Amino acid sequence: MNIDQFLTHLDTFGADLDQWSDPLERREARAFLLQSLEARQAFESAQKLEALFISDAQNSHKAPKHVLDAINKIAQAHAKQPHANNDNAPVHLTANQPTSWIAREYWPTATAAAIPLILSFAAGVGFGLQPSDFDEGSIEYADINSWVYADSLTESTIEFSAFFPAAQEGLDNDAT
Amino acid sequence: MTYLSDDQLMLKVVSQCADSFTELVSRHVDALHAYAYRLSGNPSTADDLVQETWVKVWTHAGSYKVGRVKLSTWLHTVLHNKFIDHVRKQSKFSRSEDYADLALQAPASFEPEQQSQQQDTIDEFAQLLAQVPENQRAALLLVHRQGFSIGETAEILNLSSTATQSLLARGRRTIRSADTNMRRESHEH
Repeated sequence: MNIDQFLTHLDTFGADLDQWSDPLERREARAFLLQSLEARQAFESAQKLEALFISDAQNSHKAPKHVLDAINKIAQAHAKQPHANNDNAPVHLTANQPTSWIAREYWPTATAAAIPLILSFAAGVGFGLQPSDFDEGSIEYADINSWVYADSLTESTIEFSAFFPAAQEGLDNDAT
Repeated sequence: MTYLSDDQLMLKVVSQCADSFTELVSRHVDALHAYAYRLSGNPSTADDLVQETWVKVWTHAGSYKVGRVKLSTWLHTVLHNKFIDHVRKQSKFSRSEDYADLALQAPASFEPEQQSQQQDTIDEFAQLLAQVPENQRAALLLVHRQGFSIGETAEILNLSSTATQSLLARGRRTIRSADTNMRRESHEH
């Protein structure tokens, strides 16, 4: 092992030689450390660096109380019924029950969708289908209109043959 | 009360058991917050990341596959992804600015002299971390501070083992270079 190989392995696997992947390299590294001052200096520097991380980890870091409170509210906000303090008790699927689902998530949507339908129905009853519109006179008037419309169609046919007599003749020939 | 493993508790959390969730929080929140704090260099960012992580645990507990990875690995993965989202959202994100507000404190339980020495060490550690890019910092913290193996770190960072080893090597070189520069500057002054 030369110094470049040692430094490469030191950077990759760190100063804990037991973590080096190849047992042969571990043995060679231990032997090289005895020979090379440069390797020893680099190794001690790496050990000091890692000691900083370990020292930081040993400081008993605590999450702030307000964070813990906020996290604990997550479950309380979602679970409708608090679970009993018994780990062997059956789990209540309160939040996943279909009725709860509908009540919480789908009713507002369903209500919003129903409002236009109800308003449309009310508008139809209120303006379009009042009982006074269904008297007999109206029905007769409607019937007369339909007759007039039928007459005008007949007249259109006559006018068409007046302008295009050849076509009319053709039609007559076909008929014969 | 019967002791339940993390995996057993997670199975109950899938079924919306609030007590199991609280128990998991008490087991893992400090380690997660420490990681978030050192990774982001900002206490309020760490608070947000940890809260978002636990919201995800509660709402997506089913995505944790029991036996595939340790729960602590999965929790760190979730938090790391939240951190990446945070960095992407922060268009004006600046490492040095974020770390300028760093207020790491030595535990109050130490004696005054010991606390002063400890504070110096923590300050030095924070200054060194500030010089390292986020991905290298994450790899170094996960291996050397949080105690994960290279394989677990690769899982958390969503990298191959080789890429993680490369990241660690670059991180160590960066931090060594920063350490040398800091010592040189302190000698000059």
